[in-house]
Amino acid sequence: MRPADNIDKLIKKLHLSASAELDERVHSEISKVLAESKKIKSAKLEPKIWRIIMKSRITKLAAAAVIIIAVMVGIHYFGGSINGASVALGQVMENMKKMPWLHGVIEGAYSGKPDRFEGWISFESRIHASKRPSGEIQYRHRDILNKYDPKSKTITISYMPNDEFRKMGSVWDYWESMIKHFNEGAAKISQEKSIYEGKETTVFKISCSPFGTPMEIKMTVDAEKNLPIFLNQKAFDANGNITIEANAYFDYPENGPADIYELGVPRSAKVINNLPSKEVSQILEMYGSHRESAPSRYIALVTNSCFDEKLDTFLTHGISVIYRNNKTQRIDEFRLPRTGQKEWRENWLTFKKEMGNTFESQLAWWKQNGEICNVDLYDEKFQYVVSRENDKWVAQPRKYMPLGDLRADNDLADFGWGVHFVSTFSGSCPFTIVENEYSKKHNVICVEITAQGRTGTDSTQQVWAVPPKRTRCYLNPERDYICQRFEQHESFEAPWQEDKTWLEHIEKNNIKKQWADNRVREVVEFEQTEEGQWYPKTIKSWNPADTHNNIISIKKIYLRTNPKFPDGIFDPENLPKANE
Amino acid sequence: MLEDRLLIWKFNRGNRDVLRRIYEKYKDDLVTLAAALLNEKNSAEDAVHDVFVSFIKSADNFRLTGSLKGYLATCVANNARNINKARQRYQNITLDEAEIVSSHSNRPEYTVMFGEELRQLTWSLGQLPYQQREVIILHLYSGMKFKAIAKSQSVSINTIQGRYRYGLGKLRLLLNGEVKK
Repeated sequence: MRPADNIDKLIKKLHLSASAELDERVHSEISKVLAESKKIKSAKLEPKIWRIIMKSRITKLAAAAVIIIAVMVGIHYFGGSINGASVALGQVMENMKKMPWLHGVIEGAYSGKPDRFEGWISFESRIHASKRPSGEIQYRHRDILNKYDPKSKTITISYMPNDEFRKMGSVWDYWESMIKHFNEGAAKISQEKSIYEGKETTVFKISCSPFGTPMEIKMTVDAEKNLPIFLNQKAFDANGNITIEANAYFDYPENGPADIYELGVPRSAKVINNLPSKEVSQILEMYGSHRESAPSRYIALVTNSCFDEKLDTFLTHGISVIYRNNKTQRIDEFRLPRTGQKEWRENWLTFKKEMGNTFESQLAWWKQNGEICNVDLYDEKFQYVVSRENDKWVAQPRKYMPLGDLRADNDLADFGWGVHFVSTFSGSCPFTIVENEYSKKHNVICVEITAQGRTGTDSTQQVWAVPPKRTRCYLNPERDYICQRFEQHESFEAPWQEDKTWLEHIEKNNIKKQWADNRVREVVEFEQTEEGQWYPKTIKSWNPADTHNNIISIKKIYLRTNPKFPDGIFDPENLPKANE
Repeated sequence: MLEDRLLIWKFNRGNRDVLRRIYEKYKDDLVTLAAALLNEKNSAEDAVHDVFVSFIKSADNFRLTGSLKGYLATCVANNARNINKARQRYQNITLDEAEIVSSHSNRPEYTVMFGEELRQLTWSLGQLPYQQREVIILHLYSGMKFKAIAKSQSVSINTIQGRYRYGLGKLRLLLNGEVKK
C-alpha cells in the first residue's frame, strides 16, 4: 500500500507530548486564576461563617446535641435514613472540625426493644462507619458504601449519592436555620454544673422537636474540652409515650477504622461490587448538577388532566399553582368548581375554550371558577398546610423542616430531574446503560437498574414478598439531562430474577405478595426558559400493565420565571384561617 | 464527549478547577496540532501556552457552547496562523536568512519531530501552502467539520473544501514520490 492511500491514518498518528516546561507555565497561570477565585469566594463566605461563630455557646451546643443524635441515633432508629443523616453529618463536621474522629456507643430501646449501636465518624475524611450486634457492619467513605452482611458473609459495595445534601444548599444554611430555631424559642434549654466520672461537666437539658419528633435531651459536656461525652435522649409519639430511650457515650480518638476489615469483617468475605462505571458516574453527576440548577424563582401553573372514556378525551380536573422563591414555596391547589362531574363533562368543551392555553388565561379562569382546596406553604423553616373540608378551612399543625421541604414531585426540579429517579440509582442494585429501541429512536441515555425479589417479615410475623423490579430512566443529554421517560416494571415472574426458587421455601399460606407497581412517566413536550434552561412542558403517566394502554394522566406546566410575586404570598399570616 | 459536556457545564458555572483537567486532556493534541501547522515544537508550545493563558483569563467573560476540543483547536490554529504570518513577514524582509527559508523543510528537528516513521508525511505537509495544510490538519487530525473550519476562518465552505481537495491531491503526489523533492 502506498503512503498516500493512508493519509488520514498517517495524520492521526502524529503525536507530540507537551513538555514539562509548558506544563509548568500553564499550571502556574491556572494557579494564579484559582487563587484569585478562592480569594473572592472566601471573602463572600466569611461574614456568614463569622455570624455563626458569634452565636452563643448554648445554642451551638444545643444544635450539636440534636445533630449528634441525628447522626448517631437517627441512622439507627429512624429507619436507616442514611441520606438525612449525612446531611446532619455535614453540620457535625463543621461544628467539630478540630476533632479527627468521633466515636460513639449508643445503648437504648426502641419501642421497648433493646438495641446497641457503635459508630465512628471522621469529619475531615467523610468516613462514617457503624457496627451492630447482629454483625452487620457498614463503612461509608463519601458516596461509596461498603456493607457487610454476616449471614451471607458478603460485602456489597454501592454508590449512594446524597441528594438531600444538594437540595439543602449548603451546610451553613442548615446550621443557621437550626440556630435560629433554638434562638426563637422553639427549643427550651437549661444548663447546670455537674460531675461525670470525676470530671467537671455542664449538663444541658433540651426539649425540642427536630425532624418533627418531640425529644428531651440531657447532654453532658466535658467542661475542659467543651465536647459532649454523654447524653440521654428520649423521644415521644404524639400521645406523649416514650418511643425511644437511649444513652450515648462519646469519645474522640486520634485514629479510626481505615476500612471495613478493621471493623472485624473477615478478609475471606465475598465482595460484590455494584459501583457504577465511570461513564454512569458522569451521567449521574450531570443529572444531579442539572437538578441542582433547575429554575428556582418562578410561578408554575400545573394542570392535571385524566382520560375520560365517555368523552374520549382528557378532562382537566384541577390545577396547582406553585410559587417558588428559592427555598420558599407555596402551592395553591384548585379543584373542580361545584358543578359536579356530570355538568363538568357536559360543559367541558365550553370550559376548555374559556380556559385557553396560556398561563394567564388558565390562572384567571380557575381563580374565577375553581375552588382553592389546599394551600401548602414552606417558609424555609416550617411547613404549613391548610385544607378545605366541609366548607371550612382546617389547618394542620405546622411542621419544623429545617432540611427543606423534601417531599417529591412538588417543584420544577422534581418534574424534570425527580429525586425519586435519583434514589432509584442508589442502593445495592447494579446499574447498566442499555440501548433499546426507545433510547435509539429518541437519542437518550437509558440507565437500567434491576433488583431481585426479596422477602421480609412485618411486626405481626407476616411474610411479605416484594417482587423483582426493573427501572429504566431515559435521560436526555440534549435537554439538560431531563429524565424524559421513567419506566418501573415489577413482576413476580420477572425474567431477570436470578434465583427462580426464591419463594419456594416459604409456606404459601403465610405469604403476602406486595402489589406489583408498574408505571411509565414520559415527558412528551419540552420548553426552554428565557435563560435557556430546559424544563418539561407536558408529562404523561400511565400503567403499562393496563391492557388498553390508556394514558391515565397528563400534567401540563405553564411557567413564568423570575416573576413579581403577589404581595405577602409567602407570609404564613396570610394563609386562610382555620374554621373560616 | 460526555466528559467534555461536564467540563463545559462546570466551566460555564464558574468552576475554575476544571481548567487543569481541560489542559491535561487536550495539551498533547493541541501541541501536536500547532507543531504540524508550524513545523516547529517550540513555537507550537508558545502558541498553545498563549491560547490557554487567554482562555484562562477570559474565562469569566464568555460561555462555551459546542465542542470544547473544536473551540481549542480553532484558537490554536488562529494563533499558529498569526505566528506563521509574522514569521513570513520576518523572512521576507531578512535577506540573510533566505537560505534558511528555502531549506526550512529540511531542518533536522522538522523531519524527526514526529519520528522517523512519519518523516515523509511531515516533510510533505511542510511543502503544502499554509492554508491547504491548515485545512487538512484541522479536518483530519482535529476532526473539525468543513463548516466549522469555514466559520472560524470567515470564508465560504466551498473555499475550505477547495483548499482541502487541492492540498490532499498535492499531498498524495508528494507521498507517492511523484513530485520531485
